[in-house]
Amino acid sequence: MVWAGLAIGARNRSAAIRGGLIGGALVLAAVLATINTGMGAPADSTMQSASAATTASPVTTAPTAADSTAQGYAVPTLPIPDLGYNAREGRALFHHYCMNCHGEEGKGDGFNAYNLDPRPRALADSTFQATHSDDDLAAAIRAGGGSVGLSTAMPPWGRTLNERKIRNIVDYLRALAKREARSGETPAR
Amino acid sequence: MSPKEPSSDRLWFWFAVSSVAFLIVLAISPVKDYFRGYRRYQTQYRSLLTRSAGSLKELKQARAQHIGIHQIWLPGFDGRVDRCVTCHLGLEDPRMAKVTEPFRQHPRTPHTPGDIPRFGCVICHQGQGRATTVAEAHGSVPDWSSPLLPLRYTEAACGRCHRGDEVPEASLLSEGRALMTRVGCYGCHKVAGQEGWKTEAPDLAGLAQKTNPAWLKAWLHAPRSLRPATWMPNFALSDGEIDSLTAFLWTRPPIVELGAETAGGTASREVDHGAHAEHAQVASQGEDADQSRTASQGGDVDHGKVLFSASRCISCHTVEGRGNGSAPELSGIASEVNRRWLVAFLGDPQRFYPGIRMPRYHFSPHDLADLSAYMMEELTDPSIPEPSVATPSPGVRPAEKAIEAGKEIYKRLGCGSCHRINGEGIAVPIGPELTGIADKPAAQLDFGMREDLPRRLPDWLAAKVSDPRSFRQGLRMPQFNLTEHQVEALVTALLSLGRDPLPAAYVMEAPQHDYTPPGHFGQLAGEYRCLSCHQINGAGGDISTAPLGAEGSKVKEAWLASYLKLPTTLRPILEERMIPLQIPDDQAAFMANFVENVLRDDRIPEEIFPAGAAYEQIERGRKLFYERYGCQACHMVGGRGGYYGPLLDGAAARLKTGWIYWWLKGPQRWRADVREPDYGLDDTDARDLTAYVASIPPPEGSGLGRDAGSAGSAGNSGKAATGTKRGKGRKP
Repeated sequence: MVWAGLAIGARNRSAAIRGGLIGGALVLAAVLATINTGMGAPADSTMQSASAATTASPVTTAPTAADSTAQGYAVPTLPIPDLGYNAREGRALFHHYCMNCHGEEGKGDGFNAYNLDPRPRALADSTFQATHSDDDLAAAIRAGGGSVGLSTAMPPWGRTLNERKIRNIVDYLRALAKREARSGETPAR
Repeated sequence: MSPKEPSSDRLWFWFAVSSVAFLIVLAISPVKDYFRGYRRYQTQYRSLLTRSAGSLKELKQARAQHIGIHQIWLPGFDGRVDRCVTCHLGLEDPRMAKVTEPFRQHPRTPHTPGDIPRFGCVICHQGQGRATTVAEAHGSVPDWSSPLLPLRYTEAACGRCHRGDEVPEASLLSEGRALMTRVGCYGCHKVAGQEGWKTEAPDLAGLAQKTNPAWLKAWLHAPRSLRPATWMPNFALSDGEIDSLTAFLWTRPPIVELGAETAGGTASREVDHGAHAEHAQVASQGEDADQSRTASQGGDVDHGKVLFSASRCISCHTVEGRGNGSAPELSGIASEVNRRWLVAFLGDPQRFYPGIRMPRYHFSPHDLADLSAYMMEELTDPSIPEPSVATPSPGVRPAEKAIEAGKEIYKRLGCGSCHRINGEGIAVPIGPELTGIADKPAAQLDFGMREDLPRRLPDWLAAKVSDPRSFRQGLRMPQFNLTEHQVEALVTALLSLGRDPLPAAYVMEAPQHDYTPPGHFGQLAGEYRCLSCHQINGAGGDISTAPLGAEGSKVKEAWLASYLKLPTTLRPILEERMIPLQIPDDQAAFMANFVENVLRDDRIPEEIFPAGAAYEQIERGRKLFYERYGCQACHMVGGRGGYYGPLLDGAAARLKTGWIYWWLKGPQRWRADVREPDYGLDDTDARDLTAYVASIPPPEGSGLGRDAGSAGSAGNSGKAATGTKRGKGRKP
């Protein structure tokens, strides 16, 4: 189109001016339009598709590139169910191996708790959890109560459960404590 | 220069303008690519890495992060290309455990992080692997049939490769698949690979001699109002339909005529008994029938109560919700069944329902009279009118028209999918086939009146399972009362029923568990239904936690023989305990001998103290038991300790020392989900512990002591381990 305008312009000035202006404007418009769609659209659709594909958790607004630099670090978040995969697996393991002493909710009140002296730890207790790191908890599960100067009634699980499973149990314990902190809420799925 | 030629100037001007415009046009594509969404994520990820770098090396690595499309190519899987890793950059980086998506580390699953290059992403999460924009990749675009699988149903993906009901480490999927079997989905819906499904619902032949119309009508009206835990769904039948259906069912002739039996027992329409159709059997059934006529009157209710509780019915049934629950709730049973039927049924349940999981107890006629007297007296349902008031005389036959109408209803609703009549299913499966349902595009689903639902397959399935008739009027699928968790499990199982065949390398076939106990033992094990509760080589039920495949290497023959006759309690905490089947002496001895010689595991030693354990060993073992390993936390000895594990009093009478040792060296070798942890004991500790456990005396005055007498170690105390030597003298 531009070249056509140029060719015409050689013969007819006013036509050339008109053709050139129109051509340039169209090119600029096209460039702006493509840049616009290339940048803006995905950022919005990120959130919609993400939320549509998972659960009906609240949708956060999509931060732009400018936002992410201004607020330090912020990226779009995929909503996840109350318990992540790790904690869900941890819950199943906790129910199988731990619950009968430590209680279904980690309150230290499993049916076998009353035969034990000292009583099993109330694992969901948030003050207990605040003073123990993930590594501490994992180590106690792995090597048993005896390894941390506590009762040998807590056996070592390191040869029965692999590292992944132990870590997943720790994740579930954390979720239990979090839930206890927000007491009154219904148990996570 | 000649005077300016204006037109030439203009030409130059326009030439310049058009050149710039041309360059701009050329730049559109690279610029557009430069601003693609994924590059933004990658830049963010790079700055995240740069900012969190703890060392110069990490900083250099962060700076060197390549910006561009990343992908996983799976040449062995139809050449799949998954570009998810273009944005999901931190999948394998433990430093990304706490950051937000799309950079978060992948959760710890059995397949991560090591298997990501082998499997890619789409195989588990679905979506569109080749896409490079978020919306398209996540598949929430029109005409893309498999959008991202919601995370709560992720385990469905495990089921695409892992066949079989039990998928290790996918508890929700396994639960869902077990539910599909239990609920009876396969009765109405065809699913590839489930052709062998067998119904557990009772055969409806001969209802007239089993129950009464008042109960039947109340049951058809709302099964859960009579038994809250029943799997029978509610078909929302009208009163007229219930009347017709009752008329039809009431007139189905029985498999076994209660009244028409003689001592020969062959006059009635008996079905073939398969494994136990022996002459002796038939004759004894005839006797039972004779006795049942006397046993259905009178009876000592108090003794019946003792019998009922001693027979451990709740190992399978529930009574007011207490018990295992594999078999029906028994409170209210007296309002359902007639006493004569009950007596005959308890005498030999398998005669009425050949495929039933209930074993045959050897009740004496007196026992049957007392037991049935107690059950008819106590286990009534007050909401059902007294049978004597409501029961019409059996001779009165309902109108033929009503019977025909009832038969039509029976066929239309697919009752025969679960309830056969005299072994015949009158209806064929009436539901649509479910093979491949997981790959059905949402556009092909009938949402009907459910305008509230998101147009997505998982939501459709969840609604379909929890409220089937809310979609349209006149649908036949009944109302199953499932908890929210059960719905989640079922949808997970349904979403694993993919359509496309996988490359063979990706398919994980389930281990095949076919074990039929052979010979005479097989007949006895069939009669006593050992495999309803126990497993042998993976085949059998799961009511008992004790598989029997290595039982002969585990327990002593003499103990087993006495245990079969009169089981003692090993785990007082369990509702599900071994039931006292009152097996005759010769049969018990035969079964114990078979177990001793056939059901063995060659890895397990027989006896590790041929010359007896030394006193020092036992004492050291005692210290290890109580102080080092805290075994008393779970095992009770002498009335003290936990009751999570089995009682250990008199363990030597029951267990072989080789077994105790082998067990201590790795309990999970017996059964993978055993809760006793592997302590990693060395040989000395394991031997000494074995010596101590084998020395624990039976409690005084206990039944165990009496039984154990025959095992040769009763009453031994400190040096009881020497008694175990005699376990060596087993029969060849």
